[in-house]
Amino acid sequence: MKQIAPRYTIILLVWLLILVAALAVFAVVEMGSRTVAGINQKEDALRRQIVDDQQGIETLANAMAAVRFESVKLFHDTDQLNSYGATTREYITTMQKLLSTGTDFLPVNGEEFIHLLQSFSTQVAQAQRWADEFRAVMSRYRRQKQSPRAVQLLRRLRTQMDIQLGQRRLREAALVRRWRHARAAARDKLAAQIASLRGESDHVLLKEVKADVDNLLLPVAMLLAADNMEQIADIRDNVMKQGLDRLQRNLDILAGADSGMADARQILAQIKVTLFGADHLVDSKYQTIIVTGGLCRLCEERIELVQQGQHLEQQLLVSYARLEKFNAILVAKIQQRFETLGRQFEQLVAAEVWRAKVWGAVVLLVLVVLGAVISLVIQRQVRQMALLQQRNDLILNAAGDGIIGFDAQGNTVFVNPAAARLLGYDKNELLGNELSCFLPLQDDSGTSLEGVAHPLYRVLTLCKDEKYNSSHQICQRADGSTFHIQYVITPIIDKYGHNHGGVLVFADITEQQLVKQRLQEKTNLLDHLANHDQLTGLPNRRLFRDRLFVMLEQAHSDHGMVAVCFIDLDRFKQINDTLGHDMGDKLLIAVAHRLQCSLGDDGFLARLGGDEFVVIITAEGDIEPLYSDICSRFLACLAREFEIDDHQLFISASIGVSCYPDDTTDASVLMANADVAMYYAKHSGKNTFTRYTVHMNARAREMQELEIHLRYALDKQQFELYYQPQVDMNGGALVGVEVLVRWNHPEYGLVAPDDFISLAEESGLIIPLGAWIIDSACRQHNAWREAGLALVPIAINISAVQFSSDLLTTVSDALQRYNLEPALLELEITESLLMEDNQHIINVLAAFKQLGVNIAIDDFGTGYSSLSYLQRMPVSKLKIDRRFVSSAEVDDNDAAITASIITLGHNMGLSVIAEGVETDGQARFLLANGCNLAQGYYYSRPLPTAEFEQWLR
Amino acid sequence: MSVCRWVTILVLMVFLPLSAAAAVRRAEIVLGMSTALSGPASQLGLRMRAGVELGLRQANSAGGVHGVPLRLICYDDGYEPGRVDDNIHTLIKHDHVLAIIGNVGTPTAVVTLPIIEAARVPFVAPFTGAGLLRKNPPDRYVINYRASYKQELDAMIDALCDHGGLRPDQIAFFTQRDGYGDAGYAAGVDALCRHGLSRESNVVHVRYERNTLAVENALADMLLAQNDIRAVIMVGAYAPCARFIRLARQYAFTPLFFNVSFVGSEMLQQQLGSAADGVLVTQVVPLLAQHRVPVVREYMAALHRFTPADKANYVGLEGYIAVKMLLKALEQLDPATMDREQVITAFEQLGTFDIGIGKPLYLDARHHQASNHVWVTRLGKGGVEPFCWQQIATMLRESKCR
Repeated sequence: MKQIAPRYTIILLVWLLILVAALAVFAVVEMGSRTVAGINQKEDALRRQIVDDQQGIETLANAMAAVRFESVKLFHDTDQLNSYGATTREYITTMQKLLSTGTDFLPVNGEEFIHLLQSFSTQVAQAQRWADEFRAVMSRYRRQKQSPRAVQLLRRLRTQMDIQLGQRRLREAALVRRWRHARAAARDKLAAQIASLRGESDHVLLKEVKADVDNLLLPVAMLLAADNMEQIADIRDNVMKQGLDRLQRNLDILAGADSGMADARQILAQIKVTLFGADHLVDSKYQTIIVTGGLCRLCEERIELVQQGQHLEQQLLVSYARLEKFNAILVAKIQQRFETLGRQFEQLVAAEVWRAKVWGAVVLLVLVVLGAVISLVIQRQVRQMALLQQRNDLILNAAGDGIIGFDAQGNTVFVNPAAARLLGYDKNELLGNELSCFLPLQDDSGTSLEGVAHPLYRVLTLCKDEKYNSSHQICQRADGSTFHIQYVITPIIDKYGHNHGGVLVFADITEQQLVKQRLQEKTNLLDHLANHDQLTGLPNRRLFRDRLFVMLEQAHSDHGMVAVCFIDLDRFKQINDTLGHDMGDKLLIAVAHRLQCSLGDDGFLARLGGDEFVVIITAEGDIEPLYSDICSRFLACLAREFEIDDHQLFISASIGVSCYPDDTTDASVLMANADVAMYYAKHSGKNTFTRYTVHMNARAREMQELEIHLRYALDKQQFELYYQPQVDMNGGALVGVEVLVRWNHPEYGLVAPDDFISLAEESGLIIPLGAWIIDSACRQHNAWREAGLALVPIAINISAVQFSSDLLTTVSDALQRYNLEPALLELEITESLLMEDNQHIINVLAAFKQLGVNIAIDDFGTGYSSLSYLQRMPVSKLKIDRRFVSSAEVDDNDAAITASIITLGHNMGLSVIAEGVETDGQARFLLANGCNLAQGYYYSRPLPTAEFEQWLR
Repeated sequence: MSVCRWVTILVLMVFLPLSAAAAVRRAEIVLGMSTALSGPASQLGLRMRAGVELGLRQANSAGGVHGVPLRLICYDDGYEPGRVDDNIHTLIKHDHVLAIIGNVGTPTAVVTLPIIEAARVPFVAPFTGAGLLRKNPPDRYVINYRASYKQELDAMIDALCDHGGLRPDQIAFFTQRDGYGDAGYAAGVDALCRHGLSRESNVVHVRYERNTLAVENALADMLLAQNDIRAVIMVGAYAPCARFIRLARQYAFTPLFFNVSFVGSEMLQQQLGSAADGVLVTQVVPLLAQHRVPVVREYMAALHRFTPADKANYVGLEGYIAVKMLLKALEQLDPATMDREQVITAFEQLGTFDIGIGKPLYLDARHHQASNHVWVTRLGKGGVEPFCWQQIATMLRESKCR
């Protein structure tokens, strides 16, 4: 018992109580119904008997009424069929039946009653006999009355007489007619005939007979109407007899005269029979007719029967009255019996009710005792439950989290203090009201959750074992302030799956939320730092790689294309070297900005480091138009000048492009390919973009190897200086010599400067190489001087990169070391170097000028230098580019340019020398245009030291 | 209370189905007749009944009225007015007849008329030409087929006066002492007045007792009369008429004898035997000799088909025609719902119609006598022969010479 929860115990007990109560009610009802049924049964029996008796009495009275009615019909309406016999039999049967129900019904004077019944039966039999007889007589009488046979016969007799008379009249009429038409003689005879006809006695007699017949018609009618015997006798004897006698007499007389009267006598005999019967006699003594039948007898019988009937009816009426009196006695007796039975019945009912009361009391007592016991048990259980509830309440009240229970309508049914506190309401305000009104929620985006969107209502649709958890929601308190709420709503589902509301457990997590937010911010920052370049803010190599992988994955699945564009700023190193890192950084920022602006959303721009940028472009179809466009835009945007700290900087970029999946499917290879293409672009003249091709890679590898070898070449003394003479074309005298470096590679053989100088410049190797060249050239010059060879100035090409090192020191050291006069040293720089307007370079050049070292501009004409600008430069010599020289003979334009360069140089006080002179024609053109200095294969190719020494001699 | 209600319900339960059945379903159309099947006029009644039944048998064999058969219930009244009352009441109350058809006789009609008027029962084609049934405006429930006695008498008297050139006082009347005879006499006197009769007493009028043969006195009276009687118009039953003619001939009294249709030509012929020659009888139906008249042909065919033992006769033909006329009206109605009023209305809506008597018939609310035509026949040695009024002068001459 102890294991079972008190709740179940209570339910069990309540059910027990209900069961017991139900049983008790059933018992009482059953008992009551049995009692009632018993009473009903007895009452029914009693009632049945009463009804039977009443019915019997009623039937008896009705039967008597019927008997009377039939009796009236019997005596007064003889035509109609009547059921008098049956009715009286029924009456007697009813009476006997009624009497058989109780012996006490028999009246005190029983013998008298039996006698009465017997005499009644006799009377009834008589009456019936009478009725039969009367009916028979009456039917005959009525037939006679309607059309009396006697009358018919009388009429026939009269018609007979009519005819007889008519025949006589007819004869007379015939005579009259004849008389009318006869002559006078015949007339008299005819008249006599007519008179004799008229005088015939039978004529009178016939008329008398007719009158007698007519006279007899009335007595017949009177006879039929007579209502006593005396009247009949009177008519018969005093009227009819005489009439008939006279008729007989006359007919007898007529019969003698006319044989035709026999019929009439027969008819008369028939009439007599019809009236008085076949064998009637005449009492000669009294002269009365003794009737044996016929109409007279019929009328007499009728009257007799009528009188009999009256007498019988009188007798019967007396009997009826006596029987009815007996009926009354019977009624009284029955009434008495009813009363007795009624009293018995009341006593019975009282006894039954008492029994029912006793049993009811017993059952109730049992019920009360049982109820008391059960209620005691329940009380104990309730106390236990109350304790439990108290404990639960304590736990709930003590809990820090808000706990609210609500029903299926969303109304609050339970609130713990923490919940009220957290929401800022009084506990009682919350209870019984719609919870969603007190729990206005907003999601992350600030949308308030109302109506069916409110989690409370969602919970009402949840099923068993489902829960609703909060997700970054904000709740408003009573005072309008908000807090981050975290909650769990658990629906209350019964075992049938019906939702009965739920329990909301919530907490204020504003603090936690803030901490989390800060942590997130930090993480984001770190993430940004890790993935972005600090200088430009662009994504860094790491992020770029990640992104590239992602994009390649995507392209792989989408069958799209990805282009990777490596952007390398041309000559950025020089700017960095010459203008300092600060300037370089600023330039990088500006470049990054412009690239980003130019790119927009068309791709993903990242900085890989230094002056290297990279862009990832994706396209679904052919990607070439897209990257071509983007690269062109990049080049255009970079071509505009940069103004940084009062410096006007020009910069270009080389872009290498490699595409996925055309060029490769591997990310690393894709980047390497782009790198190669970029290098290729750089080598093919810079400020351009190039798509990677397969052969490019081979060459790049070559270049890479070359670069590696180049690093060792200087140490391994693989460089060798060649010298190309510069001559005065007027006489061919040597005026100078240009020092050219050759790389004598053990495997590749002699490597042309074009192939490795740019490599050296890019890698910075040009600085030690440059230093070595200056030193070697100065040393050679010194050697030659000591050997007594002609002292002509030597021209050394200087790369822009070399300005980043301390070129001035290097040169002055070399001059000093080999005791070389500065004027014998000529430094050749490219026109584009000057055009960068690099103050540092200009300063260095100015310093050289001051030192006495001459500066020549190499490859002049390709950079389109402004001449005025050139004037300000510490330059003493122009070298006309070999392109102009070679085409001057055939191209008028180039010829014009060459000529103008020569004129210009001379006008500015500069000496002008033509490079690449290879033919006599070229030499002559130059001379014709005033340029007498030249260098080229026409005069001599660059020569190794030994050969040059030989050439000098 | 409840007893009363129960009784009411019980009564309703018993009577409702009856009335409903009467209204809803009609298994047959019942017609009634009260006529003389016994007594001196019985031949008229029997033949009339035979004619009507022949018509009904023919109609039933063709499917009745819209599929509902017809039946005739006939009671004997012996040509006695006293017996008619019961018969008519039984037909109306007990047999629920739709209409009464083909009753024979004027005195019986006198009794019948108030009853059928009160009970609103159609009284169709009675075998009488009495003016009593031809009032103006007509009684709603009386529908006649035949021309009136007055029309028959008019035809006779017109012929006698116009073609025969007789004076009114040369024409005498032999009539039955009752409504029938009186009707004939009154109509005859009317006609004679048109032809110049100044005083009614100038006309010889003799009567006989109904249902007797006592005609001697009447003949004697006629013989005694001063008038030069050249024609006797007889309005009576065939037996006394025959006796009268026989006696007259016996006493060398040989005027032209005229009989109205009611007399029944064949019976008269039978009774008279050889003495029948020269007796003229007016008819209200086409002559049986006129085989080209459709209705005569149909009647003959029906007779041949259904009752080959019967001989064709004028009374039977009239009964047959009466049925044809009734059917004409009934066919306008729905047999399931038709009632007595509708039958009369249907008759009144017929207007001009044809049942094949060779003349158009006409009925409406103001005219309840369909035919106005009178044919005339002469009893001869060969039976009933067609006659033409123009021949009357010759006949008169011949009779005078005799």
